Amino acid sequence: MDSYLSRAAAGGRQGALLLLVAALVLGGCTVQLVADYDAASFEETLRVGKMVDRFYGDLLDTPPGDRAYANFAATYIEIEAELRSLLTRNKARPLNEESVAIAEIILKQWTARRDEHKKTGTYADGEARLDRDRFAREFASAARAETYKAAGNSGQ
Amino acid sequence: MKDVAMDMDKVWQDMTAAVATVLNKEWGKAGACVQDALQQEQGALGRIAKERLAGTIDDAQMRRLLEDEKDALKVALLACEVQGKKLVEAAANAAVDALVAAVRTTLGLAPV
Repeated sequence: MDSYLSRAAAGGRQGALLLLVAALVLGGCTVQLVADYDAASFEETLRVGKMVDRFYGDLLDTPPGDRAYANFAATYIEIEAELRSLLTRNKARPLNEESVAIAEIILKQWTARRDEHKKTGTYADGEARLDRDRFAREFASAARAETYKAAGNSGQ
Repeated sequence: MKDVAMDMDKVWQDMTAAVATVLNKEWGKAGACVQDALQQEQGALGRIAKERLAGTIDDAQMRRLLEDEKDALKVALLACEVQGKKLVEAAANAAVDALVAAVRTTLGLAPV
C-alpha cells in the first residue's frame, strides 16, 4: 500500500513538473515584480509636482507679512485633494508598493506643512525655499520610479 | 512517443549566461541611481546648513527640515528599488527564456 502511494505521489510530481514545463514552453510565462508603467500616473505626478512648485512660487512672491494661512488655505486643500487622488491611483495598481510609499510620504509632508502654516500663521523664506526644493526632488523621484516600470527601460 | 533528452549542463550554462548578460548590462545603472540619490541628498543638507548659517531658519526649523530629508532620501531610494526590481525581473525572464528555448529545441519546436 505504501509503495502504491509513493508511486502515485511520484507520478503526481512528474505530472506537475511536466505541466510546468509545458506551461513555460507553450504559454510564454514571464516573471513580473513591479507594476506596469502607467502614463496617466506619470502625467499626474508631473502635474501635481508643478502645482506644489507653483504654490511655493506664489508664497515666496508674497511679502512675509501677507502670508496668513487664510490666503493660501484654498490652494492647500486643492493640492491635498490631488495628492490623495494620486495615492489612490497608486494603491489601485498591484505590485506598486514603492510608488504607494512615495505618495504617502509626500502627502504626509504636505499636510504637516499645512498644519504648521495654520498654527504659526506664517511661512519663512528660508523654510519655504528648502521645502520647495525637497518637494521638487521628491516629485522627480516619484516620476522616475514610474519611468523605471516601462518595459525594457530599467536603465533610465 | 518520441524519446527526448536534454543536456542539462548546457541548459544551465545558457541560463546563467543570459542572467549574466542582463546583470552586466544594467547593474551599473542601478548603482548610479543610488549614487545620484546620495549626491542629491548631500547637496540638500548643504543648502540647509547654508540657510541656518545665514540665520534664515532657526534650530527647530533645521531639525524639522533634516527629519524631512530622511524621508526625501527614502523616496529617492524607493525609486532605485523599482529599478532594482526591474533588473531582477529582466534577469529572471532571461533565465526562463533560455530554459524555454532549450526545451523547445529538444522537442523540435520552432523558437518563440
